[in-house]
Amino acid sequence: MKNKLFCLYTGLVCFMLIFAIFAPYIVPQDPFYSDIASSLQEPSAQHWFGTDKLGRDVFSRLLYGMRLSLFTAITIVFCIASIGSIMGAIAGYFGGKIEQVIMRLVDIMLAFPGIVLAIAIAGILGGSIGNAILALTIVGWAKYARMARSVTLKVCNEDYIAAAKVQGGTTFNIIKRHIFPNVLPLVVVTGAMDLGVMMVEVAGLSFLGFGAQPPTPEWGLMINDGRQYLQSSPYLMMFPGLAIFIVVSIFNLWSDALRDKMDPRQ
Amino acid sequence: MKKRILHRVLQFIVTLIGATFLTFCLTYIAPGDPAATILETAEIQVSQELLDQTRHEMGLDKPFLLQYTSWVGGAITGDLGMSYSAKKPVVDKLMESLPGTAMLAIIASIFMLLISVPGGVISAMYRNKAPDHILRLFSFFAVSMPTFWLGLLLLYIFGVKLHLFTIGTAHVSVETAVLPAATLALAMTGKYVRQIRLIVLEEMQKDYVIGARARGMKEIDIMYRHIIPNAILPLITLFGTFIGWLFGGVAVVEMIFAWPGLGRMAVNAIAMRDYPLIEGFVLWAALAYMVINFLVDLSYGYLDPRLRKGGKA
Repeated sequence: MKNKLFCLYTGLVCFMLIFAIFAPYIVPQDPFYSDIASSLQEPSAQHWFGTDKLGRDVFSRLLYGMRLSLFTAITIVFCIASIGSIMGAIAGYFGGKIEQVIMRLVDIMLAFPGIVLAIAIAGILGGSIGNAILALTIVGWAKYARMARSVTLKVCNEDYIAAAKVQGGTTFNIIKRHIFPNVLPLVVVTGAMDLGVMMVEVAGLSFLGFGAQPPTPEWGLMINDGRQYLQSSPYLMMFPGLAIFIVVSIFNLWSDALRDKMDPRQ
Repeated sequence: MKKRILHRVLQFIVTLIGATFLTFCLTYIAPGDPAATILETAEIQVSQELLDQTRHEMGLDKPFLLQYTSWVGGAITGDLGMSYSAKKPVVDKLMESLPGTAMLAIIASIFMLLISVPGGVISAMYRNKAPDHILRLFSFFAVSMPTFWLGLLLLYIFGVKLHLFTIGTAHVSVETAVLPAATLALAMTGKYVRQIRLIVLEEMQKDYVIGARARGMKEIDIMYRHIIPNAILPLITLFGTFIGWLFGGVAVVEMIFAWPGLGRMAVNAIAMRDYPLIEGFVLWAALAYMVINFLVDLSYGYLDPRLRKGGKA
């Protein structure tokens, strides 16, 4: 049962990835093409999800938004997971002053809500998707560093590390061959769970104006656009919101199933 | 105990310096010149001479580290500088926005407690039965829902469709706080129902529960007399994190409901490149979060006699 569910969710995730990759070939209309004459139209056969204030096709923009959203979330998670686990492994392996410095930094980052700092960073640097990725990376890596360090500390006491050292294994090789494989499963599971979180946070930053800028088709931005037409055209904020909700739900289901699969104790 | 407090205060200081220094670095390397922005918004013809003069008045011509240390010096005495956009002390601006955020935080916490504590307890009591499944489904959806979309949905349903609340009133009152507070509470209940369920389930496995059952105690009494009092510490920790987060002002929710709080103030400050105000906001958000969580830690000793005895838990 567990396995079947996991396969189902993995299938759904792959399905979304395919949609995102091939979005340019699927969309019925260019997401940037605006036709003022047909602005703010209700959903119809021609425009499945209606058109926005500039007469752009909302469905096409949503698909492109998914592309961007998946791309940014995967990029951020890849960055924070790799930076975090490298820092954590270094701290755990070398100990001493290096560990002190890295772990104090981690303590600072974990001591207060990261989103406050992310808003400040992305806002001050100026709204763009790149800066949003940078901001969320700066505040996000610490959790992984703490995790990687604790695994590394545990592994370092094992006999095979001592054996590798005696045999003259280089530090780089020991970390690569023995420590990383131990750190990896935990990092992968946590990273999978962070994908949904990051999608929501990027959309949130864009919603506030500190992420993607118009005319980029981005979900948070589209919701913010729709906010002004809440009374007359509520579908403008309904569809992008639903899109985030569904995609994040699928990612959360998938990562929960992945965690259960990797950790049978749960 | 004293040593522990000292250690925490030291950590506070390091964290505050770290966070504000990072923000300061960013304002320094960020594109755009605040002096030019101010002159432009005042619709003054910008000449190089005037620009230099303004920069001098604002202290922007000093070396970077000197700017930061003089800011820290001011911060220690409670002077966070002048807000560029409002021409008022930053502390005054923060104090203006604090009541709104505080009110929202208190009402949201009450909502959150009212939903998630019974939710988590019921979910645990009826483990793997219908109520548990329903609550878990609900919390799953709540977790995946972006806060700002939830806020807009509530605004649409209760404001536009049902006309229960007026939209876009910026004054602070209990009535206008209901929707934004409900948004914040609902957004977090998903996570908290799950965690409270886990805490209670863990407590239900302990030996004293089996003992109470063997003595023929009613399940409901076991829950209220034994399990919940024992589960209160982790509950309070969760609660502290929630309140600490709220006191920093949740920007998206305050923006949607045009709520005059710290989050909205911060977003506006960023848009205006009002660096001292942003700096003050980051300082406040970090401080509020840490102090609240520290108070939670301290409360352990009073709430749980077991932790009091040794004095070094």
